[in-house]
Amino acid sequence: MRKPRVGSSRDRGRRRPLWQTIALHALLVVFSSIFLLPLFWLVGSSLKSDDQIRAFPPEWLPDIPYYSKVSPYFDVHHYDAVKRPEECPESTWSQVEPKLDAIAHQVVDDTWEATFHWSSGHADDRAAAQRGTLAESVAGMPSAVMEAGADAMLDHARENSETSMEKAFGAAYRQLALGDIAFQGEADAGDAAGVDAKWLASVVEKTRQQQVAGQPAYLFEIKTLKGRRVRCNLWTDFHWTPDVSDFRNLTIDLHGDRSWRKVDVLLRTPDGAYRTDRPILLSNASWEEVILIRDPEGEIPWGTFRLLESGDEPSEPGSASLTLTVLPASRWQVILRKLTYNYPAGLTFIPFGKYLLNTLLVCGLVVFGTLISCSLVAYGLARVRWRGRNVLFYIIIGTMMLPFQVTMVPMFVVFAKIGWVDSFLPLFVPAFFGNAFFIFLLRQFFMTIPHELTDAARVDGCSEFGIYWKIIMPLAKPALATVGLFAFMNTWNDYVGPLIYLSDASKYTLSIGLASFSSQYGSYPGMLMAVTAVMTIPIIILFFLAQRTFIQGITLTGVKG
Amino acid sequence: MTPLALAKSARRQLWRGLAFCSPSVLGLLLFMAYPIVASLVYSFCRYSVLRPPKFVGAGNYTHLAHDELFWKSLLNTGYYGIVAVPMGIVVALGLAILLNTRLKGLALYRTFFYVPSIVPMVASSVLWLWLFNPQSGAINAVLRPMLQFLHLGEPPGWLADPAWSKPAIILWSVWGVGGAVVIYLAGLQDVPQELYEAAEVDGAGPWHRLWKITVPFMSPHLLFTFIMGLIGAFQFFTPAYVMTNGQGGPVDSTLFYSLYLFQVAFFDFKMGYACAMAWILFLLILAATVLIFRTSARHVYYAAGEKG
Repeated sequence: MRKPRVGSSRDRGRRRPLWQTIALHALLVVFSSIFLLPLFWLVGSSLKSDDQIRAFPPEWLPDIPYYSKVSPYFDVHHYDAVKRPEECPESTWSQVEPKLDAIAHQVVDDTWEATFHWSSGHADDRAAAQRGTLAESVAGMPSAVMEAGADAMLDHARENSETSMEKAFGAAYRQLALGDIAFQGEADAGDAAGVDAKWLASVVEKTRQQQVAGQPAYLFEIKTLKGRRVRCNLWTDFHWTPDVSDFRNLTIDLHGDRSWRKVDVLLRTPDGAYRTDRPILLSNASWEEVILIRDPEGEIPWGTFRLLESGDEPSEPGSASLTLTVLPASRWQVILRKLTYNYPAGLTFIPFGKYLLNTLLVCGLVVFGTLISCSLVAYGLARVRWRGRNVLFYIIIGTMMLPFQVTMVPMFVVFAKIGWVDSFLPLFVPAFFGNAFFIFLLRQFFMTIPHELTDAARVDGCSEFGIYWKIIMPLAKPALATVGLFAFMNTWNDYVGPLIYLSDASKYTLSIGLASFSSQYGSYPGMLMAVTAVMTIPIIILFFLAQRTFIQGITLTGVKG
Repeated sequence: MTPLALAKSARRQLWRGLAFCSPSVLGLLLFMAYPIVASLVYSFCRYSVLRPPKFVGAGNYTHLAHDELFWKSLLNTGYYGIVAVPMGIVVALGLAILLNTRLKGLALYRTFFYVPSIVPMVASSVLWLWLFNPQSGAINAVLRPMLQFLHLGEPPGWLADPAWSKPAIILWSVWGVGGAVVIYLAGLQDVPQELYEAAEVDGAGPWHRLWKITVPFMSPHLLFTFIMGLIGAFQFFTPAYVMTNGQGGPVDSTLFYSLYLFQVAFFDFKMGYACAMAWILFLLILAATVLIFRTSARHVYYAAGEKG
C-alpha cells in the first residue's frame, strides 16, 4: 500500500501571507514564554536573597546590592521617588507634596548628626533618608486624612514625622554592630545536670535607638595605608573569666550591614589567640548569632565557624578582646558575591557532593546493567530462533501492564530480609535483570538489521555471542544510546526507589536529598532554588548535547501505538 | 538434515536462546513471579513486616469499601485523570499543530516546549511549590494584576487551598507536555498535505479540517498518549509527595491513590492492606485500558503505512 508522501506535496503549498507568519511567531513566543517562565524564575530566585524571594509583591529580577565603603550607611536604592496616592486628588497633591517633603527633610536633619556621628556619611545617604521618610509618611497616612485635605495631611505628617523616620531607618539603615558575646564551656560528661556552662561578656543593647542615642560600646575605626582606606576594625574589650581549657565555643551577636563584605575574626585571650577558619560574610542586615567553635577536629554544624589557634599576641591576664576586621572589597566583588551566594551555601548546606556521587554511582550501574542485560535478552528474542521466544516476549511485554505498586511491598520485604535496605543494591541490581520497555525497543531495532550480515559471520565460525558482541552491538549504537540515555534519566529522576530504600542521609541520592532539603529547610528558599537549579542544569545540558537521541527516543516510544 | 540432527539443533537453539534471555527469565522469576504471588497472598493477610503475615480472608478488601480515605483518594485520582490527561492532550496537540508549520526558528520553539518535560520531577515539584506560593509566588505575581484589572479579586491560594490544590497540580502536569508535543509533531508529518488542500478547495474551514483530517490521522497517537497518561495518572505520586511533604494536604485534597497506598505501606506498615490496594489499582488500570481500547476501536484510524 502506498504510504502518504509528505515532502513533495508540502513544497507545493501556497506562500503564507506575512501577517500570518507574524501572528504565528507571536503566538509561539507567548506560549514558549509561558513554558519557560518557571525556569526563568528558578534561575532568578537562585540569585536572590531569601528576603527578596519572600517579598510581596514578588520581584522577578535579583537586586544588585548597594555599594558602600563605610559601615553605617543608608541603602539609597531602598526607596523610590514618592508617587501620588490614589485617594489624594491631583490638585491637593501638587500643593501638599513640597511641604511634606520639607517636614521629612527637617526631621532627618535634626537627628542626622546623632546617627552618623562617627562617620561622615554621604550626601546621597541623607537625601535617601529624607526620601524614605517622605515615603513612609505618605504610606502611613489613612485615607480619611487624605480625603480631608491638605491641612489634615500636613498635620498628620508633622505629628508622625519621628515614626516615619524610624520606619525609613528601620528599612534602609545598614549598620555593623556587635551584641552579646557568650562563651560556652565543655559539658562535663559525668555531670548529672549536663548543662553547658555559659558566660556572658560585654553587652550591647540590641535596639537601634541606643545606637542612635550614642555611647557605642565598640569602636569603628578605619585604618588607612598610604592615604587609601584599607580596612575597618570593629572591636571590643571585655573581662575574661573562663578557663581556656574549658572554653568550647563562642557565640557573638552580630548585626550585619548587607554590604556583602567579608569579616575576619580575631579573638585574643590571655592564653592564646584564635582566628576563624574562614571569613564571615556580611550578607544580611539583622541581628544574627554567629557561632565559633574551638574544636580543631570533628564535624561542626553547617554555618558555624571553626576557631583555630593563631600566632597573634595573647591579651593581658583577666581581659580579652574580639576584633572584627572588615575586609575591603570592590563593587564587582560585592555584586558577584551576592549573586552567587546561594550556590556555594546551598551546595555545602547539604552534602551535595556526596549526593551527586551516590546518584552518579547508581546511575552508572543502572545504565551498565540495563545495556548489558537488555541487549542480551533483545538479541535472544530477535536473532536466535528458539521455541518459546514469542511466549517469553509476550510475557515481558505483559509485565509492562503491571503497576509497580503491586510488586513494591513484597520486593521491600525481600530486600529488608536479606539486609539490602539502606544500601544502593535494591536500586541497581534489578537493572541487571532486564527492563521490559528497553528490551522491546532494542528487539525492534535488532530485527531491522539484515540477516546477511550475521549469516556471513556464522559461516566464518563466529560464535553466537561473538555475533552479538562484534556485529550487532556496534550496529545498534544509536538504539543503545537511546536506551542508555533514558535509563540514566529515569534513575537520575527516580524518587520512589530511594524514598523506599534509603534512610541513612549519607546514602541519599540527589532527588531525595533535594526533597528532604525542601521539606526541612523551607526557610532558605534561595539555597533551595540554587540546589534545584544545580540538579536541573546537567539534564538540560545533556539534552542539548544529545538532542537527536532524545527526540528519537520520544518518537520511538510514541509512534508504535 | 536428519530429524535427529534437526531436533539436536533445535535443542541447541533453545539453550542458546535461553542463555541470552537468562537475565529476563531470572528477572521475571525473582522480580515478577515471586512478588506477584506474594503480593496476592499478602493482600489476604494482616502483615506489618515485623510479625509473620496472618490470614484475614477478604478482610482487607471489605475494609477498603468502608475506608473513607480510600474513596477520597480514588476521587482525587479520578479528578486528576479526567481533567489533566485530556487537558495535556489538547495543549500538546495545539502546540504541535502550531509548530507543524514551515517557520523559521521552529527547532528553537520545539526545544522551549520540550525542556520543561525533562526537568527532574523532584526539582520541578520543589520549583512549582514556590511558584504556587500565594503571596510571593510567580504565578500569582502574573495573575494578580490581571485579576485586579478585571476586578475579579485576589488570585487563588493554590496548594494552600483545598479547592485549588488539584488544579495547581494539574497545571504543573500540563507544564510537562513537551514529550507529547514531540510525539504529535512526528505524527503530524505523516498527515498527507493533499487532504488539507483538497478540503480547502471544497470550502472546509480550519475547524472542520482539524476535526475531519488532523484528529482522525492523529488518533493512534492520541490514543497512545491518552492511555499512557491515564496509567500515569493512576500512579501519580512524586509531585504530590514532594509538594505536600507526603501528607496529601490540605485536608487530603491531594491524597492521590498511589500516595495513600504509600502511606498505608510505609507510614502505617499495613503491608497487607497496601497490597490489596495495589491489586485494586491493577484492576482499575486494566479495566480502564480495556474500556478505552473497546470504545476507541471504531474511532481510531490507522494510516495504511503504519501497520507494517
